Amino acid sequence: MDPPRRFCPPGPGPGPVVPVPRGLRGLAAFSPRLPSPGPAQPRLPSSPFPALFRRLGLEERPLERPLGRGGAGNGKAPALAGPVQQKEEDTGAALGALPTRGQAQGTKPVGKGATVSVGLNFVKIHCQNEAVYQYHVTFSPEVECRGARLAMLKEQHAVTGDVMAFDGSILFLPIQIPKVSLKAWRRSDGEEISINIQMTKVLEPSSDLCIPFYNVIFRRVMKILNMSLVGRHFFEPAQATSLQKYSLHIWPGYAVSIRRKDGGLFLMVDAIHKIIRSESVLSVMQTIHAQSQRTFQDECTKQLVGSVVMTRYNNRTYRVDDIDWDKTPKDTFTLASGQEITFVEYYSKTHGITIRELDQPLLVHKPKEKLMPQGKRQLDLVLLVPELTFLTGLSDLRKNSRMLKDVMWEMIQSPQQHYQRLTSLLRRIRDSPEASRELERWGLCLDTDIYRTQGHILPVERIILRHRSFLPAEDVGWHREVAKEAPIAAISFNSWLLVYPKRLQHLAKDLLGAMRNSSGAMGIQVGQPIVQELRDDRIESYVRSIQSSLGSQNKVQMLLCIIPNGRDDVYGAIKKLCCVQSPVPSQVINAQSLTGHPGKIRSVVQKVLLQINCKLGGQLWGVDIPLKQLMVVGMDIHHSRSPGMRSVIGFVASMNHILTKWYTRAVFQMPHQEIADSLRLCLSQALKRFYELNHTLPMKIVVYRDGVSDPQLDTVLKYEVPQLQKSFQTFQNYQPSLVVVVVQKQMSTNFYCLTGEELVSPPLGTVIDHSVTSSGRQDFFLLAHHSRQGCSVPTHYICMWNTANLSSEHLQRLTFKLCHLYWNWPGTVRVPAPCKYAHKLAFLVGQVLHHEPSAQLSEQLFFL
Amino acid sequence: MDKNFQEEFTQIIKFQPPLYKQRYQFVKDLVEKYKPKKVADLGCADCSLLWMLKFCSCIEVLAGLDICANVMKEKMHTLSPLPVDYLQPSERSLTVTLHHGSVAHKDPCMLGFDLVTCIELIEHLEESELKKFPEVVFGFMAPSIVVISTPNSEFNPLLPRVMLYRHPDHKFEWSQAQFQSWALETARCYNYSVEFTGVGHPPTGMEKVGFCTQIGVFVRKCPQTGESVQSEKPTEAVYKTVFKAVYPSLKDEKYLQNAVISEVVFTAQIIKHRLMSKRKEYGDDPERKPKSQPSMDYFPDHLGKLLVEKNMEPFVSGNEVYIPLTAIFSFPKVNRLCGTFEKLCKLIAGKVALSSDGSAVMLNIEHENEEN
Repeated sequence: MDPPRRFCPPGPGPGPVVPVPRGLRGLAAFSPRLPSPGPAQPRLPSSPFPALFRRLGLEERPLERPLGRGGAGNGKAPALAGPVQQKEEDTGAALGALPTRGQAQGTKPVGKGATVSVGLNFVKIHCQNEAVYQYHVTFSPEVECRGARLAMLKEQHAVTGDVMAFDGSILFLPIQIPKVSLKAWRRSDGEEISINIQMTKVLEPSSDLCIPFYNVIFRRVMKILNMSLVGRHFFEPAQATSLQKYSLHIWPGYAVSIRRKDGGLFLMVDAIHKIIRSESVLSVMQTIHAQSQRTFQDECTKQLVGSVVMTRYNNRTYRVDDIDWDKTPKDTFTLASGQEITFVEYYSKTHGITIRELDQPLLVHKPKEKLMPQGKRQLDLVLLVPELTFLTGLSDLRKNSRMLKDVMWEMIQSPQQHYQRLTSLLRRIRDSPEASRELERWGLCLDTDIYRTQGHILPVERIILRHRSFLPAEDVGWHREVAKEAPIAAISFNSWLLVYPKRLQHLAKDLLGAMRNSSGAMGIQVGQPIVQELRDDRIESYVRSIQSSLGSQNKVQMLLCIIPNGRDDVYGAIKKLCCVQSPVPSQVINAQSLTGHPGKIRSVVQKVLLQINCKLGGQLWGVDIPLKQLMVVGMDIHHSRSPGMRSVIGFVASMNHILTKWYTRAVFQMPHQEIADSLRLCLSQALKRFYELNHTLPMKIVVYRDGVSDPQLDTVLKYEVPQLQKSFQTFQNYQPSLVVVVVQKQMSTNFYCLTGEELVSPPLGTVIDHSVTSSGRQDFFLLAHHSRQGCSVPTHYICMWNTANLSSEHLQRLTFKLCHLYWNWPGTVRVPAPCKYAHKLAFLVGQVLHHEPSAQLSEQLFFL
Repeated sequence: MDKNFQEEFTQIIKFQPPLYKQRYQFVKDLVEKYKPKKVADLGCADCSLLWMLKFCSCIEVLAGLDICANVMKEKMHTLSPLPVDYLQPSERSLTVTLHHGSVAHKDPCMLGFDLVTCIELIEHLEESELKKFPEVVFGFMAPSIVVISTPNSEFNPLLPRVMLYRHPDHKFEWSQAQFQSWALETARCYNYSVEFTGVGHPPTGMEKVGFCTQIGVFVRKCPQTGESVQSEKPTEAVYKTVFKAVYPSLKDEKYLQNAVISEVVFTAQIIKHRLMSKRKEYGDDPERKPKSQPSMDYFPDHLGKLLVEKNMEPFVSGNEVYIPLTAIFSFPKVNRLCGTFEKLCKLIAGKVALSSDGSAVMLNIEHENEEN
């Protein structure tokens, strides 16, 4: 049984104080004295999109290709002298200790330091009942059918009361009843059955065992409020916004779940949207047909396979895995009764739907392999009629930036708007007697407002360039500085290749000029390139020209290509050539990003120069890293959208102590396998290389593992940690300490800052490591990045393994520092840089290269 | 209450499809035949018949009534509109309502129905309720058609394990003669005609016992004119409404407007696309590489010709393309949705960018270039 947990209100209570390691004290010296927070200032409206890409799982714009398409992240935000939260100098000394499992209160100590009051999208649930009683129910003679068992027990409500949760053998009741034996009558054959009910446990009402049926109850509440369950979330199609121009509907909805956290039971609510096409898949296909008759089938496969569709006749969603061009709705399938029936007839009979187009192909959905209950055969394939299905999501929207912008505009929610949607849900539950009663039956009572608590703010990090270091202004990043000052290490390029088609000649000229102008300030020397002007922009022209130049010219340092807009094929071909076949750093620039006014081109070129510098092995900026003998590793996995394709693990390990040199590997593994099998190999090679470079091995290894969902956490412990440890055996007597941190960014957790009238985003570096954290784990939420518009979604870090005894505070500080080191973005990013690098690498390899990149490139950030 | 259970498990006689499905199918066939607009199911239990009927496109009002609210609530959400129904609202309107109450009581919400079904209901009624039942259904509700089904007790010896009645809640089970005399008397009293049939054929050689389920279809003799006939109707509502769902429909201005705007915008884009690609053919911009434009088999030929007619021709002025509303109105989909040109203008007013005189849809040329 669960030990009772009491919830202590967070506050600067007397936490155990631990001696502070020297490194951290040193750090504290960097922390500046800053004025105390003034009144909240309005945030400047600027490009709203980076924050939204994140919400959609899209990336911040990578510098290389899409530049100029969305205009996002061009550093347009004017310098903002916003209020900077006060940072305490002696953060280190005042910090709390590492929480341990056995702590008396079961809560984690609240880190002191600069605090900020933070609201979360959590609603506290008060359990008003004393207990939940668990019973074991047996039927004799045995009743096979679960439905019949349920029905028979239900008839005993005189004994059990109306309120019950029963799964067929275990019964939960809010009341205590004595052991009973009841007589019942089986409907099917009239046989008399005796039902024995015996109490097995008295549960605390917030017990983990109750969570599943609490969630069932809450689903019922949402249904009472007239919301439709689509997939796992609830939506209100009646409240849809329609974007007629794009035939899109946007449904508002909620993602809700009840979870137990350190601070007790919480309802987690997120205000979400679903995008759905208001035209059927059939008319999408007709549009494709009208546009490209010759490549119609390929184009359909490209656009439809992998996307998720909803059907006209039920609430279900299906992933399209294939298109069966040989089948039509006139074909037959077999009903459960064994009867053969055509699709046309079936939909007409059971759903009253007339299929109009009789010659459409059918969409194929392959259900996931599941362990079915004995005897039941799994359905092999699900065939769907395009006319009766609708596309969901944004699958093909990325192509059309205007559409993307418009859609984003509809979905954008400020913290205040997000908060209002949450409170409106709470109000609707309160105002519906039936919905409230559903919760009350189990003694569950929702708070009337969101959960508010104290977080602390990590100190601002000092950015180190070659000649000076500085404190970045809040929210702005250091775009200006990196464009005007020398990076830590600049690599000049003297022997390089410039490739472009003849008709883009003028762009090439502009580019060269701008490069010369900008490179000086950055301390990069740009020599005269070897120019290859192509007659046309066919793939073969590019490939042949590049190949011949690389073959004849010795030591080409890198190549720069200008390609026409929208030519992903050319991009792919160049990358395959330069990353796999003839390894050389390469930079591909989309022609569109070089068109526009000179100011825009200058900023594009500055970014290109920085990126090239990284690709050549240069180093842009750093932060102070007090931990010595440290190696930081980032890992992420890319799963292919098309079925049957292998997944790619991106692996990135630091090679110097200021964490500015990286060793990278990408390895393939079987489809949709989340366990990184090749970890041992990657890490031992990284360690070997580390030894060659530093003549010593790291004594602390901190691994940031991205792309793990909650149910998979155990596999990290069971499979990945042992693999990592095995790699240490490559060396004699080598036993470094290991920290493995799981990084979860698609969390539906939101932070709101409660200063002032309106809710706004909290400052960068806000951490919450209590109350909403998981019991028995060292975990925390860190908001490292700034979202210009939309809500602040912190990243969740779960420390799965910690033999270095790194305290929570140290881990938080290290993590925040790493969020400053992604060189593609002169600002903070939401995950540690090595994770972001690993992600970029895995994405390039999985999406474009489809081969392991050449080992020669493993010490350059060639994938940026 | 549990009218579907008992026959399914019989071992000697097994009905295929199950008898309850045959009863529902019988009602559905009846609906297809008479096309009633308003249908009520008395004793709707878990709403499965109502769920089947909601797909019948003639029905605009569906109501259910049951004495047990919990049974209705269990699956009532299956009667809610599906999310996809909002994407393409249907032409017909549909409202589904569930009431909690007894067939022995009159409530004005049950007036004006075309068809009332009482499937396996009457055998659950206490004697006192059964006495009031004809007056409530035939006298008060007075729909054009009433369907009543009930077990045929003569069939029971063929069913294994049926001791007295097929279900413990049954208050009686009638022979064919008993049912028919009750039905004929009721029909006579309230001026209905009745025909008898059933589902669940008896085994060969035993045809005499009749259908397993006996059904009476009552048709009102004199078609009433509206609701004028009954004078002393109680205005007092005694039923409790437990569920109500209004389906999105084009009859609702809000959805109609949405649909019209979608169609107008979509049509305008097609016309613009066509115009722009025509202009491109004449090579207005030597810098731009000719691109393959979506082909024009998009709309039928006769429409293309229609557009050429005067004052329907789209034109470019400055940065805008103007597409006359008359051209858009000539598209069959738009035409069918709006009916009249005036209605079209009214529906899109303020929602779509129009030229200053309101005669043409205005689109920006710029979009085109960015989209490609």
